[in-house]
Amino acid sequence: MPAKALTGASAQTIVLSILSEGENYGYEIIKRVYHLSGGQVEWAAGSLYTLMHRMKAHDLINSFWVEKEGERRRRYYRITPKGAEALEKEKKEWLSVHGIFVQLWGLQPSLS
Amino acid sequence: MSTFHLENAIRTWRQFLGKERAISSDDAEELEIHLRDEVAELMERGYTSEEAFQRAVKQLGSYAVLQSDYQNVYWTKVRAERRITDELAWRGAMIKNYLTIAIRNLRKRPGFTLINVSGLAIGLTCCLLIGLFVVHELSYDRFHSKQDRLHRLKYQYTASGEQPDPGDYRVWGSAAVAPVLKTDFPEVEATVRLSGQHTILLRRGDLSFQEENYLFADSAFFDVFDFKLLRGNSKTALAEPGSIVLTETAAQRYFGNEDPLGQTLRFGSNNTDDQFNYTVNGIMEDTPANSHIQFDILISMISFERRVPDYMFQSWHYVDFFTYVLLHPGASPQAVEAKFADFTYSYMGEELLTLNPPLTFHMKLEPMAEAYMAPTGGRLLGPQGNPSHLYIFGSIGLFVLLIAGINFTNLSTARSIERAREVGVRKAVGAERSALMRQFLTEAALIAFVAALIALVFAEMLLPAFNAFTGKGIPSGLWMNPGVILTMAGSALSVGLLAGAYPALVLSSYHPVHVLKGAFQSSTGGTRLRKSLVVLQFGISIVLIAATLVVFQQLRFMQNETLGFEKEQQIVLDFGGDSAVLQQRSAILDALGRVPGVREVSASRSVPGGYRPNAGTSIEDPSGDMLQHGPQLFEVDFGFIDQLGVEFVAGRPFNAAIASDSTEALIINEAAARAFGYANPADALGKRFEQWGRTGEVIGVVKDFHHESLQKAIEPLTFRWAQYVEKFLIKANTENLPQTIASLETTWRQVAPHRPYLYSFLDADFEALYRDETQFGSLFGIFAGLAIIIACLGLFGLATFTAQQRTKEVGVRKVLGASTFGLVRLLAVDFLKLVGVAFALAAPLAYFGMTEWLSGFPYRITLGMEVFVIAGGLSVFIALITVAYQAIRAATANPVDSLRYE
Repeated sequence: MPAKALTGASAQTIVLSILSEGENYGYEIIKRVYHLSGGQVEWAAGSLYTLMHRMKAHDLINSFWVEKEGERRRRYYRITPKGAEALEKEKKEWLSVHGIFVQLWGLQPSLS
Repeated sequence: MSTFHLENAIRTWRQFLGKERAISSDDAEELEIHLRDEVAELMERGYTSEEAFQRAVKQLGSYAVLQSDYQNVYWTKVRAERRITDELAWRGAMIKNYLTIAIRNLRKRPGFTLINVSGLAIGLTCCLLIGLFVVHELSYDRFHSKQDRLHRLKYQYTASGEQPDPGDYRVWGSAAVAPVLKTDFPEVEATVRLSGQHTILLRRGDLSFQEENYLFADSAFFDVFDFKLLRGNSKTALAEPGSIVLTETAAQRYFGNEDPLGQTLRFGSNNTDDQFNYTVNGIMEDTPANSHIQFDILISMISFERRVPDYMFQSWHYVDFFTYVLLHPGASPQAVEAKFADFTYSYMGEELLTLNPPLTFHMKLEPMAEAYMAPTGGRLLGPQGNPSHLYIFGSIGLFVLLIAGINFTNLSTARSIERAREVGVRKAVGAERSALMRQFLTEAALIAFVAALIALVFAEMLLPAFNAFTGKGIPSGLWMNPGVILTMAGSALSVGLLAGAYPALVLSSYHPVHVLKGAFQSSTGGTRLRKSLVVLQFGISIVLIAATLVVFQQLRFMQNETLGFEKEQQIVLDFGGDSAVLQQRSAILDALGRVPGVREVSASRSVPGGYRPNAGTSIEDPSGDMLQHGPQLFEVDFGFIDQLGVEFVAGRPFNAAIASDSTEALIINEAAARAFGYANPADALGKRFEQWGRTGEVIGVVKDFHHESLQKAIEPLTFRWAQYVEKFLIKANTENLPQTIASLETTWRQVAPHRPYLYSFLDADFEALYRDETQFGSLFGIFAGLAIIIACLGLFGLATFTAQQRTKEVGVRKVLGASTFGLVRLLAVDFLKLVGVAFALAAPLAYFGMTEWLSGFPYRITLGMEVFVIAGGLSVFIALITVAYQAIRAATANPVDSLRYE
């Protein structure tokens, strides 16, 4: 698992990106990240949920309960317009940092 | 190995979680389902439930970590919230601070505060009362739920081809219109006729009352209007002949606490066959104060119809009814009105065209909501509002408030000099201008609110007197009226802020260095503004005083003007046209004439100042054609005209010895003679006439006399001898008038025991016609007085501060030998100059205004200069007194004291 600073810094952007694909819930998000990172990054539940609390307080995401027949109710999250804007901004920031590494380390040019 | 139960484990885990305050039950639920998802996946991979549970719990994170994570969030939120409450607490403390300082400042100068508050309180009380009055007047008749579909009919005759003036229509019409209106117009849902301008006698056993406030009403009454029927069936209460509905007051009068429903009241006097039993079929609430339809008793219209000759209900010419029309929802009144011309023509048109001159009959619908305020001529059903009075009072109210507000500003600004040092110090230690402004505005608002509170209390206390005076019924309980409270609070705030804005601006602009150095002089701009405000205040006061004087002059003129007939010592004995009395008419007249102290008696249906009918009258004009007009009519006996003392300019009075005088003779006044084309009254003698079924000749012309109040020009009037009269006119000697009245009563009880002894004095009755004007004048005077009081309060405050400001100057002058008188004159002269300017501006304004008002009276005073001299002189005098106190105090101060301090 990468250093706490990195996981912390990237977490919000990752959550926003996943939610921009569609509504989702906590457990699924953790699993997705785990798979995306090839098992390298496994977020703790408490960290994710509290992060999403804070994101909700900043109006970047919304939460809502879904109750399906015969199942327990589950809290889902979706991205807000403000969150989408923030995502764009953070994307640019990450990509510009990424751009530096690409050039320094001679990697392929980054996806735009 | 103990058995592992997954649900128990999860439940225990969940309970443990719930202990943490930072984790809400929603959060816990979220975490639980996360756990279950993990457990499910692990079990799918092959772990046992126990292993899966343990792994999942570990994966979720240690409890400590969970705890700290959630607590972080929790405390951030708390801190954010606390910031909000902190912010609020801080702001609240600031306001409290402002208020505390404001109160402290105001208490430092109790005199100033008192003057300011009282001036404003008086102004606000005035405004509140006037506002209530205006709102009340405008609210007439709005309580009818069908008000938007409700109209009343108005009528007028004009020469063919002409249109009447909007204000010329009359509401008094015939009974025949309503039924055919309903059948001919599908838009009409219902009609209600009301009638009853006569007095009737109602009795229950021995108890009898002469009822003037009663109405005959059609059965649709309770469907059309929103008068509340408390007991009885609204559909049938007025359907049968002999049906009567009493208001609670009337029921109380006849039945006390007994149940009136179903009981009987007798109509008319004892010993005639006019006996008619009325059954009480309904009890209703008293009519509300803001209804132009006022009554104590309702009687079914059909009772009236059955009793009288057919033509009274079928002829379009017999006028004695008020008609109200309810249209169907969605029907257009304009569309209905558009059809009226054809409608009236089809019933009356041709007949009217045969007259000389040919006439057209016009009809109009008037919306119910406008009925009270609309100018309407002729006989009315109930009280009439006066829109010009409303405007005038509204303006006065605003004026008074303006004066009070000006006072406020003036006094606050004047204080600025005093507070300059305070402001300098505060600025020097870093106070911002906006903070200072807020401080001063708070003070202003505080004064305004206190004044508003006092005004509310005053207004509530004065309301009964105000009601009694204006004859209105404005409901009390003002503090419970949300509209009043809101308006007062809003006004207080606006006045406070508006009036306080200027002083706040001025005060907060002071440069600390200038002020503290002591070289501070109040700006000339400020002085000029203050002076012009004083001029404005006194100007308004002078206008009001002058106006009051003129109004009272005019009133006195109208009351003292010779009316052209003898009105003194004339007692009017009203018997309501009772048939028993009429049968014994001559005998009763004799008996009354023999009472000691009585000089003359006669009888008539109408007396000057009272009701008299109009009668369609045709008289031969100079060219020989019969010309028709609708002059007024007095139906009299032989002695009446003589007893009135009216002068004849041509011809002779009615003569009992000449038989034809009682059927073929007409007497007219000069105005009537002119109307029929005779500039020289003598030329009218001997001309043929037709009036109400009689024909004959004009036998006499009387000099015009004021048979109506002096508010109206003298209208054409005719006299005819009639059997049907309603009143006796008794001329009494001046000595021992009370004794004469008592003797008359005794005699009356003998000759007409069934009739109440109702007497009044002709001159008093006549004066009562001016009640409206008298009231108007008094109210005007009161407000003028208040305006001047407020202006004086302001002037006093101003004089105080100016005197203080000039203490040093006065001290120096005294040392150099100035006399006390000279000093007083010096200090006072400035203010008197202001009053002088105010007078110069106000006098022409007042002159113009009063000339306008007077032009509405056909008989009026000439506007003399003395009114303005008095108004001006009074203002100067009051200003002098106000200023003198301060001036004298300043002038007599010991110069040592004044010069000692810097």
